[in-house]
Amino acid sequence: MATIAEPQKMNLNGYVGFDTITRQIEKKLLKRGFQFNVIVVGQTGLGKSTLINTIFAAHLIDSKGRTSSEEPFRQTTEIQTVSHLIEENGIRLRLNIVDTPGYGDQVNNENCWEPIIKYIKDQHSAYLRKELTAMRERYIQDTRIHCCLFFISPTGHALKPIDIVVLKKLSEVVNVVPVIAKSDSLTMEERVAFKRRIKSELGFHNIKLYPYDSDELDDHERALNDSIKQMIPFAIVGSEKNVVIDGKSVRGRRNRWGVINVENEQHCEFVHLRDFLTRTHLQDLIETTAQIHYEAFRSKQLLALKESSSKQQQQQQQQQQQAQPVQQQVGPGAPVI
Amino acid sequence: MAILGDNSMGFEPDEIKNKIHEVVLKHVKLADKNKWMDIKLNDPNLKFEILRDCMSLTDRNIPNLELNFIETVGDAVKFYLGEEKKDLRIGHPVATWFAENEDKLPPNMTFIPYVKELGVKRENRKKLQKKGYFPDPGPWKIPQTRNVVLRDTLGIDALPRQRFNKTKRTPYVLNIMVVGESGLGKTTFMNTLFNTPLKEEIHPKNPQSTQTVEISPVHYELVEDGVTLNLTVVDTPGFGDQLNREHNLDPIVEYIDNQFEAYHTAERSPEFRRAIPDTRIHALLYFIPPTGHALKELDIKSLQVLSAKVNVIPVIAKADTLTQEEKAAFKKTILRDIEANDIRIFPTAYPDDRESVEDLEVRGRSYRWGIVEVENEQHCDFIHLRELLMTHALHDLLETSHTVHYHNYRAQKLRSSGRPESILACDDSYEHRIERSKQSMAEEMIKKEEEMRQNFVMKVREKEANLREREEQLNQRRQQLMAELEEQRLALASEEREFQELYNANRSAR
Repeated sequence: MATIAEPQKMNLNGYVGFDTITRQIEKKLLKRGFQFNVIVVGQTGLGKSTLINTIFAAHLIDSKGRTSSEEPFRQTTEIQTVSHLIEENGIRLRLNIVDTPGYGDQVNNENCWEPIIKYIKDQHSAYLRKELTAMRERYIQDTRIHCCLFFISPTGHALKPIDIVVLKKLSEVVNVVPVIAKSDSLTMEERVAFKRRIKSELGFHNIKLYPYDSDELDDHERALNDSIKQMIPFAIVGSEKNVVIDGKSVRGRRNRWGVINVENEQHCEFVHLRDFLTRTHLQDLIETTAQIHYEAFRSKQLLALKESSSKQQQQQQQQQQQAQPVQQQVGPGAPVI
Repeated sequence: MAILGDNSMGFEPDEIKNKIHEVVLKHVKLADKNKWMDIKLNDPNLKFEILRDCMSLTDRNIPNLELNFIETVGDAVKFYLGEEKKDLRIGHPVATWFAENEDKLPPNMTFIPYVKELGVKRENRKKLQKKGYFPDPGPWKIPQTRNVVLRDTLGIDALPRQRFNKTKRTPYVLNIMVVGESGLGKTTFMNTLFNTPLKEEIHPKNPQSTQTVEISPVHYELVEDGVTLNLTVVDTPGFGDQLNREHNLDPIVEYIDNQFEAYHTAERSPEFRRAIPDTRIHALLYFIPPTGHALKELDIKSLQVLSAKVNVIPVIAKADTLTQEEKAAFKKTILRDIEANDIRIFPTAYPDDRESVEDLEVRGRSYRWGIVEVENEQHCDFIHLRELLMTHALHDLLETSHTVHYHNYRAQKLRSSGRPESILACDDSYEHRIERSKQSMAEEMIKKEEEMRQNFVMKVREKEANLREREEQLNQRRQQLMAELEEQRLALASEEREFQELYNANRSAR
């Protein structure tokens, strides 16, 4: 194998101009546009659709809850995808939102996570197949899920068994960001205590949440990650309707005892979540999916392929061996007739 | 005083007859229209229909006493025409004496003439007359009551107050069960409802630790204004928390049934029938999470099962997460769901009491954007619910749970244990059943006779066959013996001939 010699540091005498590469990359990326896939997982009625619509400031998905008595119950978790193209300041974002109606709603919730895990793995395997073909396209459409928003119901006590099992399984295949839904039902003390308990439970069960530790982060990024980790799970309130506060029309909820402003940091942590998802960690989420989860999936698949192909070879050899002794038997036994 | 059979309605007798004729024709198809009076009214349904129509037409009820004796349509006609009945007091010596000495007797003493029993056989009639029974209206019938006009104050209007005083002293019992997923605020609600910290700490329960639903009843005794309330709050931690919630209802239903069972055995035992300790659940508060959508499958299934056993009051938990419009829409959706699934909830007369939000120390919850006051009607319906439970419906709850639910349970249990329906249900059907059973027994007897006869016939045939065989055999034997006898005779005859020849030969030789 060829070894690369240690590079020598050189000083430049004049301006070369290769620092414009960043701008060239930017231009290329602008043309191509970004692709971001989110999956929302949580029980009925926790405000998943509303939150997505609030984060991206547009009506993207409809609530799929059971609103009338004639509607039947969903017997299993379903996967429903919608795709939108959002454009802001010349930057185009193709957004895939995967909703999971029926999750956790049945009486017997065993294996309600399987359709979700299957869907996520299917996206990985589709990408892998496209990678492995001989005639590969220049730019593969990335349908792998980059982020999973997991909704925790605001009981105030602790995580439910279903939550823990699903979080464990999900955190192995996708970046999971837990979120406390409808957090306007918790007072500040309750919220703090609830978060503490959730974090201790997550630690107890060894559930790895995004953002992950990595050696390549510099200090600034690490500090940012730490602050995010402090705040997880985000306690949010979502709203698509506007209310008037101090003459301004903002998104919020009005009750007889007060008005909640969704964008007010004091009221809820929606702003942090939104910034986290869109302004600071969007690219990181995509990269982590590609580098960590997809690579893990890929290596497992290829190993399995190799094993299965070697097993096939072994079986073929065995068959050949079995065929030979039969032939030998037939030889001397023939003259009986 | 009402005189039986008085035709004082102003109808002509023919009119009445025609009307009854019409009624009968309406209900029965007749071959011969002239024999409508002879139709027997044995079928209780038919009898009921015809007589009901007659009563509504002629606006005159048939007293229970007479109902028994109306067996054909003719009897009904006779009743309405008032043919047979007479005022028995006319000419009655005791009645005349009563009329003469009215002022000497106490004012509320009256004379009721003895009515001859039509359905009683002659032998029994004498017996009853001797024993001096009042006119027996028949089994399970209520004798005719008559209104009494009081001429002086009696003082029975103090009766309700007496009852009230007595019940005030006995302690009330109220057993409430709370069912709902963990974290919906059940414990906090109970504390708020009774204004006392029933459970000292609300430590967060760890939902993974509960594998099944526990039933934890806690007993309290609350005293207010001289009235004691023995309150039992049954909590169900662990409901709805596991992955597989199919069997979550089983412990709850078992508990409810066990309480009914205990009450039932207590009712039947002679010793402590007076003061049965009532542990039956009177009210079940079902907490619904504030999703905003319709009810989940688990909720609907649980409500269906539970509302058939106890009074269920559904409650929207943590309603401070909903705005006014959301709340109203949510309530409507829930009510529609409840109706569509035939769930009977308790306060169907109070449509707008169903919510709760509460907290322990401060009677309100303070958020950064405002403070929710629990007892403010504008904020939540807690006041309504408390009013419902305590003032309006406390007794209602107790009564419904006893009369409806407990009796349902009891009826089910008794029917399943094979006890026949009450034989005193209705007189006609009782007779019917007796007749039917008689018939069936007669049929059985006939069948058995047939069987026995056939058996007998078979046996006779067998025996005959046997005997014939034997006869055959004997005939054969006889023939055999006869044949032998013939042979022997022939042999004898031949020997005799020989002897004779020899003798002759001998004689001729001399």
